[in-house]
Amino acid sequence: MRWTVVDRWVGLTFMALALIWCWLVETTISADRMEGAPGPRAFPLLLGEILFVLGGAMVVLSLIRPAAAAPDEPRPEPLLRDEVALVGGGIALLLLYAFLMDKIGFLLATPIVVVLALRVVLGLRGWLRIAVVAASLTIGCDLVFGVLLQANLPQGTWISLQGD
Amino acid sequence: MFDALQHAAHMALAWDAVFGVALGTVVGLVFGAIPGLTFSMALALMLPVTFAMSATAGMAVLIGTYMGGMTGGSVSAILIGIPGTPSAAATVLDGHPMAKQGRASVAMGTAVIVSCFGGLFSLFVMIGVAEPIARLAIAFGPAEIFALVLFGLATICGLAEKSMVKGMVAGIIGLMLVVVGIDPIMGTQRLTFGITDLLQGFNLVVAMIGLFAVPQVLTTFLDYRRNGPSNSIAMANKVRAELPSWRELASNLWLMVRCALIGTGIGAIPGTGGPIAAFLAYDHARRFSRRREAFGTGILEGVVAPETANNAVTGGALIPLFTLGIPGDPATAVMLGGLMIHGLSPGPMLFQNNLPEVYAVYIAVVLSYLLILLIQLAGIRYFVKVLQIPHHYMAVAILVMCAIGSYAIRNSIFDVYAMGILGGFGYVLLRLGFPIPPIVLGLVLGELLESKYRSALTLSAGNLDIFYTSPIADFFFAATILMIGMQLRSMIRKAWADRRRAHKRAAETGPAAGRL
Repeated sequence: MRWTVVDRWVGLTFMALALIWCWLVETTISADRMEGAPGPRAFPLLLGEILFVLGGAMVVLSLIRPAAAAPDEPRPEPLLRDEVALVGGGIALLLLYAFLMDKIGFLLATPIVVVLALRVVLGLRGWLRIAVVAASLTIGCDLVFGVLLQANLPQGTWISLQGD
Repeated sequence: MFDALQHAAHMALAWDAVFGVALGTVVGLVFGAIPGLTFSMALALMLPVTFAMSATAGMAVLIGTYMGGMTGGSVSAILIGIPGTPSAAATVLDGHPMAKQGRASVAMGTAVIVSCFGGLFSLFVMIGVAEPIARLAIAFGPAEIFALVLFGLATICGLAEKSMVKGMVAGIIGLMLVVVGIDPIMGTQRLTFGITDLLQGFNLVVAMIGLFAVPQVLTTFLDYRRNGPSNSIAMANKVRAELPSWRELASNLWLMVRCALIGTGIGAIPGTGGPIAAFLAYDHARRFSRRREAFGTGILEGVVAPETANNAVTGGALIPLFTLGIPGDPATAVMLGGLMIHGLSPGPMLFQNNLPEVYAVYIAVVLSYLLILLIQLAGIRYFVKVLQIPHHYMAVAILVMCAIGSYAIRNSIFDVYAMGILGGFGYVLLRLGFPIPPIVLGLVLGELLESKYRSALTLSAGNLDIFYTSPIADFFFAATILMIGMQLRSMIRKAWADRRRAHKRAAETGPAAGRL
């Protein structure tokens, strides 16, 4: 697949997203104005309209640009199943980390997520090595951020090892 | 004046003041270097520490923290591709590619040296022409700042890499993210859908961590799964601890002066700040460089320009603070608090009533930059060791630090979720060929753009003339049009050249080639 084809579909997607955005803006933001100045709705609406036009521009450019115009242009890397799985897994892990930090606190959530990242996402072998990395990252971050820099680290709402 | 200077030197070189500068500089450097911990946070943390100190020592702590924080952002920007502060976002563009080429220490050494140059340059500008600059800066009303911000947004054209349209789409996405939350003028909720966490909107630093760091972590994971650890080790072997040569620095001297002027000028305008100055300087350097096409691939000018400009902002920001008592950003607002707590009232009378204290602050700035130079240049050989950690372990550590940093900004778990989602979105956009820096630029400038536009129209009761009757605004509008025009011209030229090449190739290889 060429970039022109990818851009055409992406442009169409952005046009659709822009329409949804404008609809949301129109239906959820108040149309009040203040002494002749635009109200809170004007700027977001304008952004949606610009995005629609730019999406359209992407579609038009992909149609009028001949494929042979840049024959040396590299083609987009195809999206393989392993990439989808790994990127999806990585994002899911981050969201799980946020959830766990909220529920069981930083000190318990971090080793769990580090073990998952090393073992499941990266496929590393050797439990001892994984355990050492997880423990040192957790303790190191707690010492640097929590103790030394006095930054607030999340405490769990279900379990909290940090105390107040 | 000589007496005042002598008195100032006596105060600024007292052991408590020197210790204060050193403490502030180290704290600022650490907070600046860690994504998620801002130097505004460091200043707020250090402010109570100064209560028990003398006025000079207290100000020395705050000055050290401010200068150190502004400089520290480049460390993580270059080493791991995540800007430590928003001001260092433009440094990632060439600094991190330099690290990938095994030139991290050269990039970091250059960043420190030019940062000190920019900071000291702006200090001397401040000493010399503070009053006229302050008078000019105060002439910037909402209409003028709107025009300046629009000009700043036009740099998207330069950051757009291959496709101007894609760059503009990315910029619009950044602006759209800013819209979510409370409306800055009327306080109305916008696109919050009843979710309380969305009321505070998307934080700039959180978005920056997500957009820069998460795609990089995911790419490292993928690279490790596909190719194993071999690539990481090969990369680590290339790490050398060397500094930029005098020749390299001397060849960029004129660029440093120009970018220091940009930074000082932007810094003097309240409500602007380091990120705008850094992006404008980067675009300026790219536009006037003979190696324009090489920007973004890891060249020294790409580090020199933003780092000189963002540190020059420090001196510029002190101009309205000292002469008019107007803080330009959260960091200088904390400094204003510090000045007032220690009995110094910023404004025109400051120079009459407290001249020795003002000079002592100047000396503290110089001391702080000397310390920064010393600490960072000595530390480079240790900082680059970070690159020798196998990249897959580093990626996991970054993932953990991204979560901590995102949480620490506002103590909000929502920010960690937002960082993860924005990071995934950033990865998809990168895969589709969209550049990330315009999104950050949109996030930085969005609120200012909208609020100044609406404030200007509120002042003029809806009359658009307010934008056209101001010579300063007209200047920036003209510069914006010129900048976009120049970019369009070069794009059209490139498109025609491609087309001509394609026709020539088709004619040479026969009609079938044209239908490829």
